[in-house]
Amino acid sequence: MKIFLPRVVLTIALLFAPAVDARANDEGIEFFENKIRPVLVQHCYECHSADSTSLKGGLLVDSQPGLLQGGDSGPALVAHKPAESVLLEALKFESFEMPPEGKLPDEVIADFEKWIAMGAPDPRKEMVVSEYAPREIDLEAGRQFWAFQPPEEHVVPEVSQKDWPRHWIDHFILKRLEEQKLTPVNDAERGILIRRLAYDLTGLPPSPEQMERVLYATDDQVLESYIDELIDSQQFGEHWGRHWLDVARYADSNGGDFNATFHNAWRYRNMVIEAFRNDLPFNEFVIRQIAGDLLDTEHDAERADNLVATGFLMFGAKMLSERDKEKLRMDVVDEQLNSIGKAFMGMTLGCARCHDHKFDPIPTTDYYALAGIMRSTQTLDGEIQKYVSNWTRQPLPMTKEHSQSLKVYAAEKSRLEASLKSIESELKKLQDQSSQSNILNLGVVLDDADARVVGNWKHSTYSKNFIGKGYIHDDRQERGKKKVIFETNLPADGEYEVRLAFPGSGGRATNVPVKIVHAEGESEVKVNQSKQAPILTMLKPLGRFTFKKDQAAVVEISNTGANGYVIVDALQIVSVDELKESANKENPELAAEIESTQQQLDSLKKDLKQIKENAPPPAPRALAVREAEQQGDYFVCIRGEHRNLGEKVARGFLSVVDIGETPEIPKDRSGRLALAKWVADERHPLTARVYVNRVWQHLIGEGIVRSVDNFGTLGERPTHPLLLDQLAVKFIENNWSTKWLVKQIVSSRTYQLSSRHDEERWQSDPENRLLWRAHRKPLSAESIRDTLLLASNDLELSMGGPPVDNLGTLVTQNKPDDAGVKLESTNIRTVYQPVIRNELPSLMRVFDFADPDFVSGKRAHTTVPTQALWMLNGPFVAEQAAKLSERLFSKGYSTTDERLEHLFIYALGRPPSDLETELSKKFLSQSDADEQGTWTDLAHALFASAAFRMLD
Amino acid sequence: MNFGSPLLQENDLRLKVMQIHRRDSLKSMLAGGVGLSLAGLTGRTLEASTSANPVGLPHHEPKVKRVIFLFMHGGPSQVDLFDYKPELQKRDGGELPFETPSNIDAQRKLMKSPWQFQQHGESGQWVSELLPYTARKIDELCVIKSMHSRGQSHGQAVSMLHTGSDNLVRPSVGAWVSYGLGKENHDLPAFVSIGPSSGHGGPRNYGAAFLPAEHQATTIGRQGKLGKATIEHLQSQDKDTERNERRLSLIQAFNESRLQEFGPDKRVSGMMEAYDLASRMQRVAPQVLDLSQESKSTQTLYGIGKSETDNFGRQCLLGRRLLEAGVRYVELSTGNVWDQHGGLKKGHEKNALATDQPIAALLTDLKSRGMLDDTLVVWSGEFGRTPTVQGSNGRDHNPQGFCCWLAGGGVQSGISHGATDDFGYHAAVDRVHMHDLHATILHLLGIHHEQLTYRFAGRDFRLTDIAGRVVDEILV
Repeated sequence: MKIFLPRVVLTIALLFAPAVDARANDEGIEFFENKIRPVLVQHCYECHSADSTSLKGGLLVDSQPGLLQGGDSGPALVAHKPAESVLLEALKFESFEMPPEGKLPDEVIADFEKWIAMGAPDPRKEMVVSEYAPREIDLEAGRQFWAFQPPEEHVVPEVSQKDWPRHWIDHFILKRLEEQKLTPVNDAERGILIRRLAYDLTGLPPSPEQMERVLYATDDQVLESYIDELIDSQQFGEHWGRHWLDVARYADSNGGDFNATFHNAWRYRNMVIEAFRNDLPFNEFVIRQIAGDLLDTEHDAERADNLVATGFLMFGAKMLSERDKEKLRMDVVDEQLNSIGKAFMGMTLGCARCHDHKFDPIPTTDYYALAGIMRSTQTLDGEIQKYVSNWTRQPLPMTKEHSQSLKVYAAEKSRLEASLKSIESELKKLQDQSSQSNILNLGVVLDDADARVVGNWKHSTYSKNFIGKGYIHDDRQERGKKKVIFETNLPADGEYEVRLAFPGSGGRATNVPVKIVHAEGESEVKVNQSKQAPILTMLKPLGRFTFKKDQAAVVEISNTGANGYVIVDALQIVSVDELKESANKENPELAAEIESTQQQLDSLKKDLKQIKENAPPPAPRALAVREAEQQGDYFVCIRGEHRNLGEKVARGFLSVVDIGETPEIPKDRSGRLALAKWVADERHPLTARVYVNRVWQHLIGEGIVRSVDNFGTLGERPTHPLLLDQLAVKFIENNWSTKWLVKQIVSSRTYQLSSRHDEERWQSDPENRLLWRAHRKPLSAESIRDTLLLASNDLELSMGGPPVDNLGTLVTQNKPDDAGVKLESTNIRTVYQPVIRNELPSLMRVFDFADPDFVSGKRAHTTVPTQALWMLNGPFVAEQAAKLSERLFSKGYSTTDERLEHLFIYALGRPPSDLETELSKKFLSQSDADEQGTWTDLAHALFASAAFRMLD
Repeated sequence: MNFGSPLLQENDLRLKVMQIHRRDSLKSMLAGGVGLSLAGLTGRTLEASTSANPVGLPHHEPKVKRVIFLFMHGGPSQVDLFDYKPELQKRDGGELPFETPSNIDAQRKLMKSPWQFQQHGESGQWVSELLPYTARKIDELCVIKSMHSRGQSHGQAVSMLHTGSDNLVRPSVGAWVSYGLGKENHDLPAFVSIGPSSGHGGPRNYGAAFLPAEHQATTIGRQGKLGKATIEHLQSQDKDTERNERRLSLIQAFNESRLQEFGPDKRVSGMMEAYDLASRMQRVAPQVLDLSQESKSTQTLYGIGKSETDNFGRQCLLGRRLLEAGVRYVELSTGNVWDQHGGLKKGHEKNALATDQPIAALLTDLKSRGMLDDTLVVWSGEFGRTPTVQGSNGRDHNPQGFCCWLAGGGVQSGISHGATDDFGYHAAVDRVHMHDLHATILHLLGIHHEQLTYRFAGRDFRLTDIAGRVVDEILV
């Protein structure tokens, strides 16, 4: 079957040609030759002709059929209809902007408009075929590619060196070696193998006890039970879970433009670790991650795990503040499809967003068939703030007790809050009645709003004890240039008390100059605003002055020489007679009532605080998708432009993958469950292969297909295709069990080979593609840190919980003064440390931690000076070296040899070689630091050495 | 114990070589003139162990060897700095006569620039009174007045400016340059970012994405601040250099013992080389970072010591020292300070004051050292601002039209290129897209933007995606 791109078929040109009448034709052609052709040649041919090396938009303008047939956006022109012609729109810069170097003069555009209105006469009738024109995808041919062929079981090959293999895997390996006249090197020394196994299976070095038990044992049973012990450990789940977290682009924050905290991501992390520890069949693991929310379950715990697993679809870094939400939605869908393609199938689907995949048999229609599924799935949900999208979360099942206690808590809290509110208003009423409150009704009160201000005063309501709608302050700026002037005429001549209102507190000036103009002249007082004023915490009497009825009372506050903020709230002027009168109105009963209400209020506040402190944990929620409100097929977005919609495509999967019966997508469902079942189907040619290849890579050092995330045409071919098939088939037969697979591989003699160099073999296979020896592997960032902690006995082997509870909505603010993320440091394993996108700790950045922005089945292995600087100067290495040295001294070893042996066992999981002993002793003898310091240096050097950083 | 074993002899020799190397560096450090001493510190002996730069570069004769990008984070307002619009001044308070792009908070009411514009220099280009120092340099600048980009929000536009993509994780310009051209000075990184913001994508904007990690920027300071001007882990906590040297030679001796026992291994020898490189970086980089080696008059030129200009002055001076020492791509950042949705007057005055003198000083200094001819200086924000008002005295984001300027080798000086409409809203004449600016920067470095590609996930990626055009009109 062939898939044809949607395009206007050539016959339209043939239908149209005779419609042009002959005379008009001559004039028209002349017009074309004079006005149109030169412009096309000069401005368009570079990118839109048969000679263009990179044809843009699939559009050819060097022939009439080319223009009429058009490119990815449909016909470039419609004869007689300028308004419907994309070409004209583009020239006018209305849709496309052509030519890109700048808009053509208006008269040229007018010529084109006229020409199209004339019927676009054009003598260039022959379609010129571009050698760069897009090809059509031949699916049948595509299926012949090795990766799309279903894996088959093979006969275990015969080998000449019959006594070498210990496992069927070894037959496949030795067969290829023998074909190339190569032989494997010797087995690894036992000490090296013990260390290799421990790190490969758990990410940690062997314990001294394990080393001792296995190192000298002659019984093979001991090695096997050591392997089983490692595979059964909690640490196996952590180490192998982390491999999957690389693939899942796991992170505790969004990254991107708006680095929002993923408070619930950790549940996914722990679910993954548990899945590997419990050896959840990989096919089920796949289904849960794509469609866990749609599975039927029997237990709440399973339901919770299934919901959490869909976090896989949520982890993509999103540009949450994108204002064009339709674009963001399609970007999210794209990220999800890319991740599903790469993580489970080793396919690069993203290429097909804009055009048919150039290398793999994936047409654009397949991409949008899948996009329809993800568009029918809800990932984004509302907005956190204007223009910034929020994402979906799903409530998780709770125990009855938990939900009960949440209910009780909520009821109790709202009861307390209600009483608090009513008592507060009662108190306020009483206070209003009280003579104290009456104070504010005395005399004349002028608010800051009634004053005349000079200079820029800032309005504020920060301190709550103010009169009117707030107060103003000078912002500690422009000393001596700002003033507030109150001016009023009093009702009668007499003696008055002047009171200034301000909310006093620390940081405010202690020497605010205030000038009072009264009947007897001017007085100046300095006011201390760093303390609360004595009356109602607001009013400070400035003294008593005589004022006359017909002469304005003026009070002027300035910031001249002020040593802090200057605050002005209001001014009160009260006659002394009125003050005396009001003093006699005191009501002792009311005062007592106020006092007791205040006490009630205080005690309620205390209760509320207490129950909040003892609140049950909040209802658990997961970072998880759900079905969208509307499900349906979607359109091809031409060139990936979300506003340029083409034909509608029925939801579905990759057409090149033929698994026989394809799961159906019900109309009222997103189709995610069908997708999940299709991906995890045992007949799917990619899923099991891609996974066993990754497991092989983690243990052997390189994949059978070295491009572990790309099984497409541009990926590498398998070095041992039969073995890859066999592993995939047997893996499925053994219920997709990761532990089974790991056990098979590490039990093979191939895995247990030495990693030593051998010149002759190296000459014939320098890349070790045929596995004549073991690959030497770098220790991961996690293993480096965990081992450094373990060496000083500081590593805590407990499971981690939520790592970013202390962070707010954003891990860092988009502000110039943000101080960066502050994280609590713990000594639990590195896998439980938070993965904050854009803020990874230096250890992770330097030692090739998987970039959480991408699906990553294979970490980079770099050797760069920044690693050396981290090892030489990083404070953590120095601290751990000092602690290890202290540990050695606290044990009281009597001889240097004994101490040296323990140093090596703690740091490297093995005793030193003779050469290493010699070097160490020379160093010890030459150092002029104190003894423990010298041992610190020795430990430090050992941590930094290749022996520590590599796994032989 | 056998002190005469071949291994140890070799190791002792290594130590001697290192000491000689150090003495040489010291000698050149003491040699006098600052420029000379910095040049003397450049080491070019060893190749970085994992560098695999693409072949065939440069694609053509480069015009410049290095780039310094002055990032005005937040979006400086074109109509208040370089893009003088008499029509806007005239119709202050009037209605914008065309539709605004969607998702804009600005009103449709025009707001004139609160600053006076004047023509400057022989070229007679308009510059506002906000930039008196830059105005005096106008004859050396090529101002592009018709920039446009993608991204109505900062995150998208900042990413677009740095990586050529507004939504996907892509390598930054500096990483591409490092990947394409490699290091000039092997003792220093090829790409340094000074004071990068942690928001709006943070490290993504100076990251390597899928390129090898070594191409990401080394950072100094953060959030538009230089701080103590140090590189992480560059120096040991322990100040006892003898002891550090001894420990380093023990590490190298252990490593050599591995090679001896297990045979040759590229990774182990690569690791040893990395330790040597690191040890040289430890000596070279602090010299470059030390601004006190500059004369008082140079420091004054940059505005160092004056509170308003001190920070950015230091950044500019350090930028020059890094370029001089062989860093290929340096970025300086103001931090996200140009984002005046409100308080335009106060904000832009403060930002202009902080950057104007230091930037002019950088141009003067580069010229007087003869470096301006083979250095490209680029000044830009992620977008500009609307000529319409937001709130009462602010302007909203405007990727539809804004200014950037270039100066240095290969670029015509004293010109402006392109134009916006009558109000300074949309780029209208000779439009230059962000992809075009990227293509032009690469072109000046001798790189053809369509040919510098990297294969990742089954596709050949490039900085300019599927677009980009070298702006030939501004080239010499």
